[in-house]
Parts: sequence; structure tokens; C-alpha cells
Amino acid sequence: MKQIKLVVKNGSINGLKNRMEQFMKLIYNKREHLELLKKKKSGDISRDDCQKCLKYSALTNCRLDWCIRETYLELLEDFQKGKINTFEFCLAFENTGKLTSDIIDIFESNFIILSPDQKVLDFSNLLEEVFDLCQDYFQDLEFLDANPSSEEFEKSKIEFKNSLGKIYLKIQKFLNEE
Amino acid sequence: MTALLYYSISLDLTEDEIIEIDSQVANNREFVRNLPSNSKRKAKRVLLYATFIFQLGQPLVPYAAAVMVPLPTQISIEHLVSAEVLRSNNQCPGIAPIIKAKMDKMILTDQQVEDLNIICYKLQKGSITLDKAVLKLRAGGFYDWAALAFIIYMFSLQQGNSFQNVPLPHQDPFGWLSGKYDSRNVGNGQCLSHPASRFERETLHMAKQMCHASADENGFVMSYDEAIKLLQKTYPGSMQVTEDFRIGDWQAASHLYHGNGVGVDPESFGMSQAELDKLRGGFINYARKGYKLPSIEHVRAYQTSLKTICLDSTSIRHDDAEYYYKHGMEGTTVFQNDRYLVCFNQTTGDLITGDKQRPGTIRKFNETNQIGSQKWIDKWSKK
Repeated sequence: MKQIKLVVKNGSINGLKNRMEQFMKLIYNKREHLELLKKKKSGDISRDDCQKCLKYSALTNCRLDWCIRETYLELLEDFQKGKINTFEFCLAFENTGKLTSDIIDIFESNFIILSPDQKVLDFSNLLEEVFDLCQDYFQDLEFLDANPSSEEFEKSKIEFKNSLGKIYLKIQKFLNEE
Repeated sequence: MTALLYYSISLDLTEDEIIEIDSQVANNREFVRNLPSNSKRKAKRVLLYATFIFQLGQPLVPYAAAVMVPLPTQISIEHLVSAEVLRSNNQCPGIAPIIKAKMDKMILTDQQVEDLNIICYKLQKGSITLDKAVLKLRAGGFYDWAALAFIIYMFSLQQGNSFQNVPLPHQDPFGWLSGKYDSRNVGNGQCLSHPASRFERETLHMAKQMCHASADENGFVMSYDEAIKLLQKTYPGSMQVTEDFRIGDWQAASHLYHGNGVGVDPESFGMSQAELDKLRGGFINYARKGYKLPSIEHVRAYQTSLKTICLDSTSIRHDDAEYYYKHGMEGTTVFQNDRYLVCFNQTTGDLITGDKQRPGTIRKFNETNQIGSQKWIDKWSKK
């Protein structure tokens, strides 16, 4: 299991925390989320409310992604160490993402709501970059399937590895600053 | 050979079906084991006779089309096994109850004969798969031996004659050199007097699966052009969703790994999600490697599921969406229902993708009306 080093900087920590809380209040309302979930379950929900509920679900999903961050980190490490190849990494990473979405569905159908905050949103944004990379890699494979080129295939893999390396560094830095 | 055939068949069956067949095979073995030695020979005769009956009864055999002998409407086991043997079986405590209770007469009713002929006809024409044919047989009240004989018979068609020592493709290098297993000689009808059916393509594909020895260093068992022809023939049609949009069979098949997300269980169609995930390496590559092609019924189920999402009255249609990828941006119409997105290319009317998305993807789409990675959005939206 990965050890996560937390560095707390003294000084303006309380002010920063307050600003984050205010920001979250602007974008997330837990009470309203619960009401929307109840409406959704009863089937009596407007399109706008449904879209709003989805938006809230995305925020709570970020919290779950944060909770299982070690799974994501292990995958990233395995890829960096060459234990898994690009295809396996992308598949496993996407499947982990889908799994968290399905877990959120189960939680929400039982009105269990996780609380998001700015920290988990930032972490989730970094994960989104990895999801984007995986999506691009699979798109490349699809394109190369119709236009085979071993050079392009190798180029795609190298690009992926370089890009993922940069994101991995950002994730490590983020976790160290937490 | 029967074991090999059984193995090949079982590749396409679900776990429950395999367990059911295994248990019935075990029962039959137990029955034969407990018979007196002369009865074993007679039991084998039942099987061979059944096979023979099915060979005669098949109306669409290419090499026997001129001689059409219908299936007998009634087959009595007493013609094959003497009454003494049957009586002695009744006294033997080791015999499986199912044999004692109902097997004194094996009857194929007129309706069953008709059903069998219809199933065989559909199989030959390619409108149902081999798996489905076997399941229909079993569901249609046919006795076990009839279904087993049918399976052996179908493979005898594939190999010419299952009761002769015909080498399997991977044991037959001269066959490969002579082009015997070349799909151009089997799949496209150039060397046959009748057009290729799906059964032929499937058996060809199955033969390919048995022939890893012939794969090249990349694991390919057929050329690029051969794979394209095979896929074009296997997935030729499309399903119309709206006046403007359709889901092509090829397109749906190549994205079938998304099926599970929209409620299409691959296990119901004899495939695992792990097998479908191999499609992500490219559909043509997938075919070239001789992996099992998804059945057209599986493809239809995925298409139907996507169509249902599109036509659902609670779905939201976004006609102003943009799909970004490596080579540019496409104007896209997206049908959204909760976390399900089905995207169509507005220019061609073809499906781009259809799946259940992560909440993060939905949130991003609802905020921007854009689909695709940020890298390509940044690159192409500025131009």
C-alpha cells in the first residue's frame, strides 16, 4: 500500500479552509441532493432536476475516487514499473472508474451521500486527465486498426507513456502537498 | 474427436449450459457403464443410428441435396434394443431413473420433425447460430441423444465425415498449402455452389481458432483483406434509429464491449467481457487474430438497447453537441438518458459511441456540450 505523505503548511490554513467551504457551498448542496435523489427514485423528476442530480452525483463520485486513490496509484505505479502494458493499464483504469460510478449508484439508491470538498475535486481533475489519456489511446488503436502503421502504433505508446509520466508527477506532488 | 468437438462447442456455451450438459453426459455414461457388455454395443448402435437418421433427415446438405429423405416420424427403441435388455435394465438398480421412466419409446412427432427441419434450414441459411440451434433443440423437447447426434452431425458437415480419420486443420499442413482452409475458398462462395452462410463463416472462424499453429509472429491467422471481407459479410446491415441516424452492424459489433454498460449481458450470448475487451485493440485486428466473433443476435441486442435509449420519451436530444478527437471535430447529435449517452455523427448518420458514462463525463458534457478529451478540445476548438 502506498504511503501518502501529508504536509500541512502553517499560517493561512484556516482561511484557506474557510474559502474552500464557501466555494463548496456554492456548487454543492447536500440537502438538495437528497431531495433530488428522492424525486428520482419516485420517478417524479423534471429534466432540469435530473441534470442537477447528475451534477451532484459527479461531485460525490469525486469523493469516492479519493477514497480509493490507492487503487489508482497502484495502477499508475505498476505501469511505471512496467508490470502492466499500456493496454492493460488503460483497461484497468477505466474499469476502476466505472466501478466507482456503479458504487455511487448503489449508494445513492440507498440515499447514502458522500460529501465532496475542494481537495477531492482537485484530485478528481487529475484523474480525469488520465481517463482522457486512456480514451485517446483507445481511439488511436481504433484509428490504427483501419490504417495500420507500426510506426504510429509505437509513437502512440511513447506519447502515452510520456504524458502519463507527467500526470503521475502532478498526482504525487498533489498528494505530498496535502 | 468427440471430446474435441464437445470442447469446441462448450467454448460458446454459458457456464450453466455446460454444467447442465456435463451432468447429462455423466448420466448417459453411467447408464452405458451399468449395462451388460452386449448392451453397451447396442447403446452405441442407438447413437450411431440416431446420427445416421439425422444425416438422412437433413434436407439442406450441400452434397446430398438431391436425395431428400425425411426424418421418420416415429423411432422405436425396441427396433434397436431387445425387449430382454430393456427388462433386464428395469431390474438393475444402477440405471438412471430417467431411462427407466420414459425411454421405452423415442418418438419424434410430426411437429418436432418440422421444427428440426426449420432449425436446420435456419442454421444453413445463417439466420441463427449453431449455439442457438442446439439450445432450440434442447428447449424443443428433443431427447438428449437427438441433440447430441445433431451436434455430431453438424460437425461432420464441417469436417466432411466425422467418422473417418480426417485430420484437423492444425494437423494438416498440406491442407493449408493447398488452400483448403483459405477463407477465400470457404467463406466467399467462389468455390461453392451456394452462397456462404453464417454457419460456414462461423465454422471457418472456429477452424481458425483451432489453428494457432498457423498464426504468424503477430498472432494473425488471416490477412487484413480477408478479415475485412469476413467482417463485411458477418455484419452487413444496420438498424435505423431515427430518420437521420442508424447503427451499423459493424459499428455496433466493434463497440460491443460497451454493451454491458447498457444492460446487454455478454454471458447470455456465450461471450465474456474479457473477450469483448479484446475488441478495443481494433476490430480488424481482433478478427485477424481469430478471436470469436460476436453473434449477430448479440449485436442486435446492443443496437436495440441503444435505440431504446434514443427513443425513450425521457431522453434529451442534443443536436448542437461536438465530438473531438485526434483528427478534428465532428458535429454530433447526442441522446442522453441519465448517465447513458448515444452519439451519432451528424454528417454520416452513423453511431459514434453508446455507453453508460462516468458521472464526471456527464457533468463535463452537460456543462460544455462537448465530448472528447481536453487535449483535442483545446486543439480543435481554437481553430
